[in-house]
Amino acid sequence: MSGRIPLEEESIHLLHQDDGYSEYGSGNNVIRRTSTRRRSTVPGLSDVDYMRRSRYRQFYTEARSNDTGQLYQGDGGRYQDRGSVKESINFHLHFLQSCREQPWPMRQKIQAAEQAREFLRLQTGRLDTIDSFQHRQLQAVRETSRKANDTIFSLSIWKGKIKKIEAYFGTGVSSYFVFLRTLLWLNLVMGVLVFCFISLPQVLIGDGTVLNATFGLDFVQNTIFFYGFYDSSRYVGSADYMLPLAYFMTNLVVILYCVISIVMRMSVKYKKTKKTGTTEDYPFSWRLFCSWDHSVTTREGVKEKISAIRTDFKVGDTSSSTSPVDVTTGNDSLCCWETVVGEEIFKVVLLDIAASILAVLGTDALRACLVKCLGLTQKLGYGEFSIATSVLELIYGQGLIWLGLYFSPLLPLIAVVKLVILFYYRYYMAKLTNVPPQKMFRASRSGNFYLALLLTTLLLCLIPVALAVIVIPPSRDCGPFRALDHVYDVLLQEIGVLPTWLQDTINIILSPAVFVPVIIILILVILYYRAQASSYRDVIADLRMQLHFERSEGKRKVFAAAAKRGQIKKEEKPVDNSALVELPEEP
Amino acid sequence: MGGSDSKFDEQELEDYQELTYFTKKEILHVHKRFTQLAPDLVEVDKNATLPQDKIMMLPELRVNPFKDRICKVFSSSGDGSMSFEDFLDMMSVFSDNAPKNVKVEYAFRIYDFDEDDMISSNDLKEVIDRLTGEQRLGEEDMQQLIDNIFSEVDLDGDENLSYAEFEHVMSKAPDFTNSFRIRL
Repeated sequence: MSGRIPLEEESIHLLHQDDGYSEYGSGNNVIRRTSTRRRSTVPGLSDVDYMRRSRYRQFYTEARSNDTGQLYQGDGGRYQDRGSVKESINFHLHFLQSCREQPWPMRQKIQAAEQAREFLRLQTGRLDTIDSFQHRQLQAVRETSRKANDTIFSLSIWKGKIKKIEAYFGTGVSSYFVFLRTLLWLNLVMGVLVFCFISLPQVLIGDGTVLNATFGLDFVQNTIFFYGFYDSSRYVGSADYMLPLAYFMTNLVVILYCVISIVMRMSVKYKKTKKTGTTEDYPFSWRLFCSWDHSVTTREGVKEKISAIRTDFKVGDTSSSTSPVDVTTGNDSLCCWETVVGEEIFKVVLLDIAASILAVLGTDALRACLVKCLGLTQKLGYGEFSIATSVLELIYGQGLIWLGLYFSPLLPLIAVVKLVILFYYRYYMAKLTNVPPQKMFRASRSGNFYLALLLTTLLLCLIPVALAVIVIPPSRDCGPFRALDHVYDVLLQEIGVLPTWLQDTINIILSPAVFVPVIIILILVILYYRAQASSYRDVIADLRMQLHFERSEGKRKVFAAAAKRGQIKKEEKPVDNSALVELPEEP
Repeated sequence: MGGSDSKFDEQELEDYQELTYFTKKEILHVHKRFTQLAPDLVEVDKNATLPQDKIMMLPELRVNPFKDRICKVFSSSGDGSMSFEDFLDMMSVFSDNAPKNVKVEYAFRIYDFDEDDMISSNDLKEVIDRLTGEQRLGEEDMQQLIDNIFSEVDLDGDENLSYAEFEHVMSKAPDFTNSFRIRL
């Protein structure tokens, strides 16, 4: 076997290779036999040459450490190990981790991984404690993340229904239902937190009457649904529960949870798509290779999809539009104004639910009735499920919840009920009255856009609430802050109880002397990253132009040469010299 | 979930978890669906090789225009028949968690109809046909589309898409990951 170098230490290497098999082992021990199975499909090209030439060279992984060349060829190659033990161990560890991504058949992956593991097992005596520690850390992390994924998998509700939607409508429409489910979990967590820390304590140990959940307009403020119901004593009941503080902190924590949750989802999505820009770089190729939605698995859905794709090919251009989001706020300067605001927002939320239901009835359902009864399938046709409008409705509804959260703490639970009703309603309505959209829906780009819009809505809705909390004094007659001049006093009160050194530290941190420089530094950091991003964008644009120029220039040369030989008669294309640019210096 | 661990031993499940993008529960679910395709064959051998026509009866593949190519590409024996491990591999690549580069690799193989490691204009014609169904795109329109694609992507001007060119295009495609997905 040519190329086999005597090794410093015991390791697995290729012992023997013939027409279809490779044997691996060490010394005289054969550990594994694998078959090499890539037949040449190009006539005239032998199997060996085919494998060498083709991209299936990826069967052979190459990994080079700094100065030694280590080649591990998993199938019919040479294994040289000139490097140190540590490097080869690192290499095998790295190989094990990347095994999953190799485009090999499963059997082959298992065998290759087994080989790498055997090597590591043989070397365990010589492993640095640090390396094995790192490896074990990695394993532990993987285990926990896998267990977490398992729980998420079991908790995921409505999987069957969403799959049915996808099977006919495709990924675009199902993204609405997935978004709805996301909002459901968000509101559920919000609602549970609020209920556990604010409402339940109030009901159990507070002074007020037990759960009086009437929906009448007169005594509404006497229910746990509204701000006015909650006690204001610093320590409530026999358990000494600090209700006002809990009210304040829970609101804060809930908002923080929402922000973090949305941002994390956005970053996960962003990592998956990894866009370099919003321009349509390769419209035709993308149209051809990315149009087919493999989630569509019903015959009718496939027909619809094919028809949409055909239209898309012919038209050659698509556009999508979005409608602006309308958020309104209200404010009153009556006594117990917080409850009044809460009531108003509560009413708007109920109105929103009614509107969502009636809208579908009035448009899609009515249209479906007309088409069915009057036989207008050809002339009019059923309505398309409008994804953008539906998602924006959800975002609007969520904005209302955030707006009203402080004034009506149990609003998220109302939202949960609303979302559950809406899911089943839209699901059955879609099945009965909708057809898939003919325009190609750019699901991934829109997905991030909707999350960004949700985040923006959250931040915008925080503004009025923050204003109310900071500027407007709380009502004297009701609510957990009636005894205070400012709502944030509830926090300052507690700080006042802390040991002096802690108080002084907090005062220093919050003082303008520290505050202002921190804000300035943050602004500078943002500006720096923006400048860097924009310079990268310029570099990319220049490179793209250069690439385009190279391509067209190269083609021009080929044609010119061919024309000279008289094989092709083509018009000389003028060379655009302005396309040749110099790359900007590194910033 | 209903899947019992008794079919697979710990080491096998570990291996599968390490080498696919699935959790243990998902792997057992995939096996359940695999068994439903040919219960008598899989009862005997949990890693039985099922012929291509049985695999293509899977509801998720039945009406897929590329089902034959998908089976061919993931079949370790190269003739379209798949063992459970091949099937698991396939569903793993098509799952939510598979990274883009893995999906791009297999997409290239699926679109490479003549398996010469290049996507030629004949391959493109076949893809277009499959995507437009019975009412084929006119000859002119098809040629125009193919020319447009080559002018976008064909960097070395050989009227063929190599893997490098394909990967270069698809790496920036935002909709690819979403559409190259099958959920069991």
